[in-house]
Amino acid sequence: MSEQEFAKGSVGISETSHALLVSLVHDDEKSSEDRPFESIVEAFRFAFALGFSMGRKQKREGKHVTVAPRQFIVTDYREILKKEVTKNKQSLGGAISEYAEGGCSIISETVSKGKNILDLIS
Amino acid sequence: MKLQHLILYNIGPFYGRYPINFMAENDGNGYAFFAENNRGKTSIYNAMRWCLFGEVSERAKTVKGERYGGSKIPLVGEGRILMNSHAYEHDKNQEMSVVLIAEGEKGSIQITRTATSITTLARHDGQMTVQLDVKVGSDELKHDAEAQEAIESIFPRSLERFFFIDGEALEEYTQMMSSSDVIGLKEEVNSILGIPALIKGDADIVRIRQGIKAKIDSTAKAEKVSTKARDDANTQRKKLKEKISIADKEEAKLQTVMSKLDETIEEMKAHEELAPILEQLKLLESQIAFKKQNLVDVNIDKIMEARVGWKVLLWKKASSQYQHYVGVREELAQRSRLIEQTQNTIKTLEKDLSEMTGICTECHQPLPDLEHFKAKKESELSAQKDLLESYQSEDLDSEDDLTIKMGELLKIQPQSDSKDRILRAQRKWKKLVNEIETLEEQHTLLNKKLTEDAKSSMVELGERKGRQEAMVSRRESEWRTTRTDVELAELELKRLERLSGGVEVNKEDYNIDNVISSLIVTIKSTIASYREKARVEVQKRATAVFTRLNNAPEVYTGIRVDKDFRTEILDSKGKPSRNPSSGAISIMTMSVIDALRRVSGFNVPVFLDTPGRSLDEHHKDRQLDYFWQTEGQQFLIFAHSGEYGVEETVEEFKGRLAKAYTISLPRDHKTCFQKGCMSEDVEHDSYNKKNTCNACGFEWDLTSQKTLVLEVPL
Repeated sequence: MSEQEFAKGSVGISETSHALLVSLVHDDEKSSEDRPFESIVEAFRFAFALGFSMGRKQKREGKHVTVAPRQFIVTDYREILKKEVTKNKQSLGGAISEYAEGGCSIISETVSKGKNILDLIS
Repeated sequence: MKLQHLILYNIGPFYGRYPINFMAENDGNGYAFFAENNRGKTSIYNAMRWCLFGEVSERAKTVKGERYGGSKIPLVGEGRILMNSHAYEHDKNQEMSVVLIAEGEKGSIQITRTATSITTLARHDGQMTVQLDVKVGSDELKHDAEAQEAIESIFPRSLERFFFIDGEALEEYTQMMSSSDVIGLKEEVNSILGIPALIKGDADIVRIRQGIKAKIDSTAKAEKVSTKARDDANTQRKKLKEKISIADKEEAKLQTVMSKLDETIEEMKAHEELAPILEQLKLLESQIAFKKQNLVDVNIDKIMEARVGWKVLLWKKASSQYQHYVGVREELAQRSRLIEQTQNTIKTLEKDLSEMTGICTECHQPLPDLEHFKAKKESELSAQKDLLESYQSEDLDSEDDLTIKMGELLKIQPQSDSKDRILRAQRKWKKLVNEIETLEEQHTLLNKKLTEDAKSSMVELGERKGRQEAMVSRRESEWRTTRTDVELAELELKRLERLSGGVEVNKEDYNIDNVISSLIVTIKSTIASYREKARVEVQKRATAVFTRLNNAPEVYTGIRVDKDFRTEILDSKGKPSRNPSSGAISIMTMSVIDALRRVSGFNVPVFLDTPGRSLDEHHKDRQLDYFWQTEGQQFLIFAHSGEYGVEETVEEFKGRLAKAYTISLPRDHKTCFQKGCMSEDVEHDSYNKKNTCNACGFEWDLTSQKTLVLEVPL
């Protein structure tokens, strides 16, 4: 199976989910709030991993915000996604973005229930 | 002082007791001891020195004007000793003594000095005890120091060499007198003139004056210090006054802020019931602040741990994929082994078929059913080839592809404890957040109990109290500093007051200093004056004696004694003679010694050992002619028979010679020496080594070592 068989694509996320991820990034003045990520890219990576592990993919709706490609390299996740993207004839970025969107909806549900984000890894 | 008796006991050649009488029947002052060498002249001379002064020294030597004292002659031991050698070697108890009896101004004087061994055989003087007994008049002086002092008052030891004159050492005297360096004679000259007492007095007074001067200097110094201290004390008082004023002002300021603080505390008492709540609120606030600070660190820990949270999530699914690859890799390895095994089987079968000859390799017989066997082998070969093909046709990843895939998956593998660490950090953060929320809720509840006015008032009062307490602390510190300055200034003032008081100048000290200063000048002047008078007197007397004894009065006219008591013979023109004869020099020396002795005023006997050593016949006669004057002091000579003949001398100085003795051994006598006999009719028995007097029948052993001291009839 060669790399040419699927496209890399770009990663992005809906504005709503982006706003959610921004609210999860650390702030020196808000140590008591649950903001466990150093940057928006780290929050996005966590959302993607959460969606992937839970098997939740979700199409983006509305406007979307692109995640910096230099800080998020889609090929790092090729091995775990290749069967799926090959089968669905989807780009790596596309699959990752859908999983991230799915992860964001799980996070949103968790936050709305008053639970903490990192509890999701258990 | 007139010598009357001398008793020798075990000293020199004198074994046993030898009394010698000096009591004269005429008015003569001359005494003579005649003897051959080594018969005991010098021993008698030394016995008297030992009796008087407790020790006898060998003759001194003068080298380049410096006099080197002779070594002390020991009482006992090896070599030359004072004790009689027979007594020392044979007596059970070694003992020697000398008794000297004389008549002085204070009556009779008896001096007894005895040395006794404290061991069986004393080997050195440390094993001898010496006892000195002096009796002056009826007073017995038992203590050695006291007894010696009594002797010295009659016969000063410092003048010993002017009364115990060694004729053989006359050149030494001469050298000292004519030398430009007069160190050797200076002390004796001073002693002769009685100056030591004055010099000692001068030294004592100088010492007293130094003490008084030191006291005056000390007082003056103290006075100077005192004056300065008084000035300093006045300045210090002004400083102290200023410091007290400053301290008072600081104290007033302190009192002011303390009273204000008291007022604030009073005001706070009106809200006393709220105080615990405020205190609790403060406590909560400080706890919250502390925990919030802690929360920052805990939150950072959580974020750090959360960095690998995505790996934990991805690995949940990727781990099964990874395990699948692990299985595939094992399957791949298994297939490789099977292919290799099948290939080997095929090779063996092909070989067997190609090498098949129809003969059994073991029994070498033709094989039956060869064709059947061959067909079976070919069938096996075909089956193995099909199997190999099926293995090789299996669609499996290559080893390299599999390694790459597994490597990529491992990149997202978290550490085994990552999940636990993340959850632990999360829980810690959450716990702390909850604690803070609880504290904040407590704070909110308490806060509601206070009205805004009361709270505002209490806060204001609390802040004011804090400010005032800080001010009190600062003012107190400043006041204490000024008080310390005051105390230090007081101490310094007390020190200066102590220094400034109690010093008084004693004018009497100054007066005494002036008097002593004058006295010192007077003493020094007296010494100088006395020395000059003495010098003139010595010069006059020495010239008189020299003129009498000198056999060339036209050539040598007198003696000059300079201020340092150096002497010179003057010629006919009154100038120093360039090359005086040795006889003239000896006579000059004797004259100066005599002059010095006479100027000293001590009327004690003179002992002259080997008197004619340096004189010619003429001067020898003249010497005795001068010294043996009827009005003079006792003059004892210890002469060798070569210096002065016994009979000639006795004959020539009849009337002036008080006593004369010969010192001899029995073998020296060819005529009878019994008192009253003196016969020349003596029979000599060489076999028995004895002489017998035919006139009186007296016999004497010629081998006897018993020294004879025989009085010469005058």
